[in-house]
Amino acid sequence: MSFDQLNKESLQIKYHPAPVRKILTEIKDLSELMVDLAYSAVLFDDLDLAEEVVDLEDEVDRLMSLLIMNAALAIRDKEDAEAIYPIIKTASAIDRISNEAARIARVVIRKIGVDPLISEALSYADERLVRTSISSDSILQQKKLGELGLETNIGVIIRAIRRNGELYLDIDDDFMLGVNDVIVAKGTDTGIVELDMLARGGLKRIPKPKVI
Amino acid sequence: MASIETIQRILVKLKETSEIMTDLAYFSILNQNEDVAKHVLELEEEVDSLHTELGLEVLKLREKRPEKGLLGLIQVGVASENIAEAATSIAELVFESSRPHPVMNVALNEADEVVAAFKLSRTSILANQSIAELSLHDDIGVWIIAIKRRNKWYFDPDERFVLKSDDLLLIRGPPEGRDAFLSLARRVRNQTPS
Repeated sequence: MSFDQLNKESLQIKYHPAPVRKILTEIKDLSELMVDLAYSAVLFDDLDLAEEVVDLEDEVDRLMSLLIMNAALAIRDKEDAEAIYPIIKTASAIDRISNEAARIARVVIRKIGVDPLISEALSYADERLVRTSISSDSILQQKKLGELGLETNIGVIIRAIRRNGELYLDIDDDFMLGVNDVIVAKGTDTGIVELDMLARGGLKRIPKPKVI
Repeated sequence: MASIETIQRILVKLKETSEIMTDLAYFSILNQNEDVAKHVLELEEEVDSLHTELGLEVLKLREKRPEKGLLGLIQVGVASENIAEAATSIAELVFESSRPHPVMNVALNEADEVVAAFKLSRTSILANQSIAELSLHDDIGVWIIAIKRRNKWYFDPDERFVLKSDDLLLIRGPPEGRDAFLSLARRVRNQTPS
């Protein structure tokens, strides 16, 4: 947010009732998504991903305020106070993680970047990151994520999909893939290679789990 | 350049360690498990020294590589270290408060990625298999992040680690992966695979 956009209206945080449990789940998921996207932004030097991380940081901040207000209202006595303490401490640790993801993203936004000779190593971590796009010969096009079952078949988790310049993060089973969609995902070395081949059209069926 | 490979190794290790610490921290607080919490605190020290090592190695490169990219690397290193510290502050809760956390349990178990524990029965189809043979992660997106055997913990086990009956396995992955793993682990040996 730039300074001229700052006004009281946009900064005000109003209470509304929301279950602390739900907010905690949401900020945990967001913080992990942000970390994955931030490292992907560095690895692929992808400004869109980096900017998305910074936007998500604002969302986590907003949820954090809501969590504190709702937790505060739930406290009636010493017992409640002791019970709520670990929740607030965990939430604030998660908030810190989201701030650190944004720190990583800003390396890309400020055009500092990470030496590409070194950042390429991030693609060799246990959990690898991949960015690929769906070609017209891909079997993934016009399929819903739910029917593909990529998570349980090849062990990859789709983190973001970019379509016509717009980034989709909240992707559920009904999301239909289309030609030219750019997929950002994480998984193992074999999983991401399989995903890449499926997207480019080199692999024509989804490998089934061969566990034992 | 030997230094580049060293830095790559440190960077990957920092990223992996800070992420595994977060998973272990959530597990420790959900189960009030002091051993796992202590291990998170130990890993934090490891991350500290990795971070120092990273800084020193980056300095060695300052005349060989463009400075900007090295600065970015230092900033990513700082972020990983701070993530590790945040995980540590979650694990510390195990020592600060001994009451169960029903709200937190539900919240963490409904997340996109969850940590679960499972004890291998004597007849489980997974017993006497190495982690590589199972290729759990390649197939169903589940990682084995730790194993407890006869009161001893093995964290971040190697692919060659062979599972035995009565091992307690800590796994991490999406809930669908966890469920697939649990039904697999419950399958009895000698049963014909479908």
